[in-house]
Amino acid sequence: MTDSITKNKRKSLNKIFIFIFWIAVWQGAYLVIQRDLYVPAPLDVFLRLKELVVLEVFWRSVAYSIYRVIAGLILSIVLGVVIGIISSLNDYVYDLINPLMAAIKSTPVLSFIIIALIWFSSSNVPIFICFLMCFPVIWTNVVAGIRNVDIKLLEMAKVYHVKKWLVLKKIYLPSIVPYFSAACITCLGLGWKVSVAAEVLSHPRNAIGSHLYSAKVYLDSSELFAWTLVVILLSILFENIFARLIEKSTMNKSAKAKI
Amino acid sequence: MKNLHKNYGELEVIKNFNMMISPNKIHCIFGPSGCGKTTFINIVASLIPADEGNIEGMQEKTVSYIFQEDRLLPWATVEENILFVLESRYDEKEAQQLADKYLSLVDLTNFKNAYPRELSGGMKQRTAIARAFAYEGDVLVMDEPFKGLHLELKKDLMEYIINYGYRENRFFLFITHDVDEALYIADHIHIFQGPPLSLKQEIIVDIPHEERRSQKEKLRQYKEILLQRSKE
Repeated sequence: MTDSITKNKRKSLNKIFIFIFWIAVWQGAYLVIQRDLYVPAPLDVFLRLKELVVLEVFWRSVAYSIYRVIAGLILSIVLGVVIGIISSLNDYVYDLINPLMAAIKSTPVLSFIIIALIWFSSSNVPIFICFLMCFPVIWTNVVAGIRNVDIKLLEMAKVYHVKKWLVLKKIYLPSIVPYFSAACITCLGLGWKVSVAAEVLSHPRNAIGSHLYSAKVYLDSSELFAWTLVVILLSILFENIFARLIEKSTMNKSAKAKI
Repeated sequence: MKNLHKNYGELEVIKNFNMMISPNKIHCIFGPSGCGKTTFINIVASLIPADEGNIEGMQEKTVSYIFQEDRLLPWATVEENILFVLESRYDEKEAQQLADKYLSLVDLTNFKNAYPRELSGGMKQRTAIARAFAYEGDVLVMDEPFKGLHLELKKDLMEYIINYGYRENRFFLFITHDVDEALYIADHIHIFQGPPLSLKQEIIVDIPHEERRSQKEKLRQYKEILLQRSKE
């Protein structure tokens, strides 16, 4: 018990040390370069962030950006899972969809953003881009999960005439979960990156990306860094919440098993 | 089984194969690896279809299969693994009773909430055996179920199968490479060769199971015949 407490203490101390180390590197870079435009001072960025946090427009932009990322992610998860299941059950569908996914994966995200600007209203462009970038990731992992289901377990279920829905629930679903959650974690990071990029180009009224764009226009590096920090923090927050959710759902499962 | 036929591409694994099995006797299938034993047994379990021929009296029969590997769901407990195969055939109460009964038979009642990763190899195989028994299939098919298990455990498990066999009215098919295993458990030993699969000889082991530990000399004679015939 005491061992684990000291261990945790050491771990958090370590984290603090790592944090201070990188801030020091940043500060060092600032001192060497000595130009705010290239690398703003960490202190300036934090002060800037403090100013932003009290503004209503800050929270409105953050809220709208979160909404866009979540909308894009949900779309990609729903369609990715549905189409993923269909394509792994049917080879023709897989062969049909696969080149499309390969094409999406290797197309520069900017090409999509530019075409999406023509197709959609500025507020919807980031949702579409987030969906488009995450969809292939979810799809690929769902297909891989289903294809990697242990044939020996399926044979066992066949010999014992286990009903189809039970096979789906007790063999397929648990086999896909690890692939699916890995895909979701990747998408949480990716979703933030691409949807903010889309916001920069489409500049909707309330968006983190629009503020990044105006920071660029006014050559305000501290504001640029401050907003970037916000994106990083949000992305980490999302990943943590999701990891907790996964942990909780698997814990529930083992708790149920003990009854 | 009549005129059974199975090809894998160009390879004729089974060709015009005929064999009789009788209920309540443990039939051992003994033969070199790659002779088509597993294919044969998978046809019996209707895991794969035969290209031609049929197995008379096997329609509508249920099969309990003990595989070479345990084939347990890694994310389910010992008890859930057993209930998994029972749920589609029995109602909830019956399934639970069967699971409890056979878990205690293989001495795993205390481990019913354990996950396969927490068990030893022998315990996992015992779970698989309990699963097969609990299903109470009309045919019990076993494909080298004791591979890699140590001697004492093997004897215990064979004891379960022998006792289970004499109490219930069903068919038993047991694949093995191990002469001692075959002589310990079998009533009939079928020496197979192939491919294409054919029956070389059938040996009837005429010693009651309870006397096999004591009748060492007689068993030794059987062993010699068996080894000699399978080498020819």
